[in-house]
Amino acid sequence: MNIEELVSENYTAVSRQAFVDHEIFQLEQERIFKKCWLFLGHVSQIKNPGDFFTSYMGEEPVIVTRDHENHINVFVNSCRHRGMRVCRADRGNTRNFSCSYHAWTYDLTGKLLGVPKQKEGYYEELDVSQRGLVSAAKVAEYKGLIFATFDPDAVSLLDYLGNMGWYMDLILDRHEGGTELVTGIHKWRVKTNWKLPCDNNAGDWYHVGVAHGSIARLNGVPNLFADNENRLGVSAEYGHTLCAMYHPEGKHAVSAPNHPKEMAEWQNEVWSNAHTRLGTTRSRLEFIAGNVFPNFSWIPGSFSIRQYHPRGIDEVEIWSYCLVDADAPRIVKDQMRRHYTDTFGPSGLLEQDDGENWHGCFETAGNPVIRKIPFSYEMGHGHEWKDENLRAKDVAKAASEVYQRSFYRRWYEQLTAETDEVELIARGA
Amino acid sequence: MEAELYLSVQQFLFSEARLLDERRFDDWLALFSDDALYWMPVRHNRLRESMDEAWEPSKEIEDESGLGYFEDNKHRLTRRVGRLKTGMAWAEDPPSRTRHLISNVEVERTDRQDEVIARSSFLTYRSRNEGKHEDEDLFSGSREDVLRENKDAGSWFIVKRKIVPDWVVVNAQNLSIFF
Repeated sequence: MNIEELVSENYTAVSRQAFVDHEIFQLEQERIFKKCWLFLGHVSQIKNPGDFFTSYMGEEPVIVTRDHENHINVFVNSCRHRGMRVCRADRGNTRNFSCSYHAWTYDLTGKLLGVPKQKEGYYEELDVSQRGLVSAAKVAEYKGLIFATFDPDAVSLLDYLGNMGWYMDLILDRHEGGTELVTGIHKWRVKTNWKLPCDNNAGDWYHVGVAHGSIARLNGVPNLFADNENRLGVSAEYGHTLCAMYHPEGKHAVSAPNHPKEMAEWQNEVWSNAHTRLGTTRSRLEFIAGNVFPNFSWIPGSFSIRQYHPRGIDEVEIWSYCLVDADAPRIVKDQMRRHYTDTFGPSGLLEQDDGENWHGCFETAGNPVIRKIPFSYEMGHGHEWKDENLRAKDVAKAASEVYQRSFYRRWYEQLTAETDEVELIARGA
Repeated sequence: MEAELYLSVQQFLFSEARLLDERRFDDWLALFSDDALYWMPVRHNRLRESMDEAWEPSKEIEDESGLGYFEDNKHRLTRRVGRLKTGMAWAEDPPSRTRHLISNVEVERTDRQDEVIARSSFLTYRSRNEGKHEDEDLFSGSREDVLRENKDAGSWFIVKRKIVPDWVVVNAQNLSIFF
């Protein structure tokens, strides 16, 4: 497999081989999901010592815990003895994790506490101190969000996010109380390669009018969103991208539901507050959609964040969460949650049609004839510009494929770089 | 429990299922009262709290402040049906071919003269597009309905439908159909 042949110069075309080739998928596991910082969840899921939830880093099942020292731990959910999952609950509170196969038992930090028949069976020759559950190399939090990486040499999470953190603050730091997740996760499976939903969620403004055209018709308006020159495609850097609305000065950067009246009042309070918290430029920015490389995506207008977990080369398991302002009144949180459920998640009026496209684009991509026809990402190439007010590598019109070109550039660099080069890329060198 | 009441509720649930399978969504919508709630909470795998604990499904679902797949009042439900008529509801174009099998019906009187609780199980098959293996889905779960007498029609209104799914991860590309 010659990876160079998979992408064109400037990333305006990507071979379908990149989505159907098992060698590529294996390489992605090694060089992307074992190297990058991956989103795992929110601190509101583990408020108390003993709280835990299970998640995935790529295809690796992991357990995320809060221990009695109040530290967050992330370790692989696979017994050091014979590999059984030591935890099969999605969440809960526990003192330890005991394997259902032979009862090797681990504490909240992943340390092996003991094994049955240590004396009679192992003659006390088993060094339990060396058999803790394998931990993620680094765990870090960004304003309530928990991330981890398997790469001990990874740059810091802050460096990894780079400019993207500045935009994530539009949601995470717009109000002093921060954010929390609504309890429960929408999880569902789409038969497609993981990269296709990521490249869409990265900021595909082009599809909104067509793929989600039903909502405009339902609302009796010509377009779901009026054409607007202030709508931008932003390549933040390192393959992290977003679609944003850059509102005129003095206008609140919010278009989310403004009813009931408590919702309107809350939005007003948040955005007058955000002006002092985030400054003039960001108080005009509305974060519409985006992706943190590789698979952590945002749909802030619907109060939602999500992961696209690969499930083999041909399936993705979407975990979608509702993220709300932690100190909003109950009625506002309820409204945010209903607005999210209305629009996204497997039953969402917008979401339903996305899966249709992600599956349809993928299902024949491996066929001998179709495989030779590359996907096109050429829209707006060469028409990007720099904006000194925005922290971005490139800025473009919203209806551009600047997002996907950034995503696949990072993807390609991640796959082809030597190990230490990968770090350099992540550092933006 | 009078047989007549039981048969009336059962007949209502079977007819409702037929409306869905025949895609007569406006007629289906008319079965819901104006104050209706159509709710399907998210479900999760939980730890057993003690060795002798019974595994109660009620502890596996989110409460009203948690996440649901559907949390629709009549207005929201009407929008779902309205979307299907826009000509751009791609997830239902071509439409799902569904078969709603409703069984295990139990009817219980309530404190209110005009309302009953109807419990039922559903097994819903869906086929789409060419009907290849990946175009097929099976959905199962239980439903707890509060039904109010529709005296004019000699039938029932659905006042509240709580749908408890048997899945934790939806093994389907979407939930673009009704349950």
